[in-house]
Amino acid sequence: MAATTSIAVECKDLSRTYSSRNVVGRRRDFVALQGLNLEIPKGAIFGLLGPNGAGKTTTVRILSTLLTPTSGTARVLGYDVETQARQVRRNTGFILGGERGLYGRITGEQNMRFFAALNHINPRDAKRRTAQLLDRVGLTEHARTPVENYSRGMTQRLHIARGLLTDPPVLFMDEPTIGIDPIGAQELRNYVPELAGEGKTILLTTHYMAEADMLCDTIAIIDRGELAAVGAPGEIKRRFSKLAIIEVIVNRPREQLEAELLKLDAVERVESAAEGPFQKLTISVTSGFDLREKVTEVVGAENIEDLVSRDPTLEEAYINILKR
Amino acid sequence: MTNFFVQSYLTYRALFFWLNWPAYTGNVFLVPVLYITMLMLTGRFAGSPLDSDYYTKGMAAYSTPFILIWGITQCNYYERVIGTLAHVLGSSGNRWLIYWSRGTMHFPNGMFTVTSSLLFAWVFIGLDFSTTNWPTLIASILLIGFSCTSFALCVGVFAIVVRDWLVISAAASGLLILFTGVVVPVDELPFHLGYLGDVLPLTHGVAAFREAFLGASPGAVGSHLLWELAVGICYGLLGYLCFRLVEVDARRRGAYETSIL
Ligand SMILES: Nc1ncnc2c1ncn2[C@@H]1O[C@H](COP(=O)(O)OP(=O)(O)O)[C@@H](O)[C@H]1O
Ligand SMILES: [Mg+2]
Repeated sequence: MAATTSIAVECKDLSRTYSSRNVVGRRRDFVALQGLNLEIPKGAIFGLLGPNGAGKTTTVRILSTLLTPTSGTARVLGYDVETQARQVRRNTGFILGGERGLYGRITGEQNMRFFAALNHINPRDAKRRTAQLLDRVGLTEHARTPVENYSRGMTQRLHIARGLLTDPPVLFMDEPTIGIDPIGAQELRNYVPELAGEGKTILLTTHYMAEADMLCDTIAIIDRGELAAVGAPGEIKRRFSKLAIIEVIVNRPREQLEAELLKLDAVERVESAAEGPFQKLTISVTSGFDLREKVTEVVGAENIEDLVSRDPTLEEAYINILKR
Repeated sequence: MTNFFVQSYLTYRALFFWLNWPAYTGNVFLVPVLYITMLMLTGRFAGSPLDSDYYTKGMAAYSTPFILIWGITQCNYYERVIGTLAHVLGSSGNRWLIYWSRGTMHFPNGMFTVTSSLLFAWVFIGLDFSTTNWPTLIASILLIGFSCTSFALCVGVFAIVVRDWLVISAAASGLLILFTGVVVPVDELPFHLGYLGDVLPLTHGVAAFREAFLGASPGAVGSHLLWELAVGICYGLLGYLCFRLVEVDARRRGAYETSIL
């Protein structure tokens, strides 16, 4: 297949079974991925979302040639991950979450220099690129500190710098923010749109809904090794949530409003909360019904400070998908 | 080529956990001295028919594989355990260079340890160098260094597989102590076990090493030296083959990142 298509990553019927043997040698098989089909266009930020054990890391490991599929195929920029692993490795960077995978006894700079040498980057370029990337992830000051003395967030930033050493057009990030405090996680997230802006294709796995919603232009939800839904975040929310949400800010609060609204057809739930001098009503409506007019009627147009109808959150959609 | 040395140096700095003063001096300089003294004394008091110099020379030569085997296996083990193996093998790095770069910096240790052992034997035990043929001695030391680095790299692959370095190192260095003629002369081993020595490193190297003290020229022990070289080359190739097979197997089983294979 040509490397000239607009598809960066393609999985066809991708399956992976892990086998292990117990003490007496009996084999146990565990299906981690079954028949996964994915297509990621070049330049996309693609989110692979799913609960723990869904098969996200397995997918990333297959795509970065660390693991062979049991059946099915995966291609990166047209190169088969099994038979053209060399080309795949040259064109991808992988950033695995967690604290392992870096040399603790040597400095951040030395870690970078080691992986540069490993990847055949000539020494002069290696030096320049190391300095550039460490600066980019804010580690210049700690370049000469042994990595075992790094904080969790610093380690993760070094992981990112290492992943960018070869300036790969395709990046795989496996739960890059796991175990990182909110501010550190936000800093890490900022790199994602920046890298996409440089034209890189990014596959990001996460189990944080908000992260996927915020960063990705397409999301695939996987559950127990199978694709459960795929689409733009907004699309997934609309398609998979059986609810739509109307939020009303009422300037003259009334206690009975809740009960009156509940009487309307298609209203499933009403929550009321005080917002300063106002009352905020969050009305869950069966999707497909437009109740804005009826709500206005019940509350009284003159009492409404603001009325918006919004999509449900990704979390609401996600929970619906996984329940099935 | 620069990249090969950068790789060799950094992988050594990152993974060799005897790289601190107490551990380094202990294992490179003190352990051989203890071995030499211990065997020389037990040999003498157990009424061995062998000259006590036999043990001194044997153990001095043995110091080289000792540090190489224990050093290289611990690095491989550690690489697996800290999870960097996945990143090394997931890179487009040249496998042949990766494999040999794991031994480069250990080779000098093998040279230091035998040199200091001989120095110790000369100063404190009075080992006689008066008839020594130096070119033969140096050639045998270098070849032992080469063959034992190859052997240690080969054995080291199994430290990745079984995720342990103590058992592997103990077994490998035990084989060398028993069957290469450093303590027990090869032709006195029972049940043709002497032939085992022919496929192990050190056996022919140490034979040439002993001859060097008696003044044998390199030409006179040429067959020993060539044999040692050949053994080194064989282990080098065998080890590389095993390394590639382990890589293929790890990809198939999914054992790159997990600490179990
Ligand atoms: N090397 C392995 N051997 C056996 N089972 C594994 C191995 N790696 C992962 N698994 C299992 O496969 C399933 C999917 O794992 P993973 O891809 O890591 O999920 P995720 O990253 O989505 O949390 C999990 O149930 C996990 O326990
Ligand atoms: Mg995971």
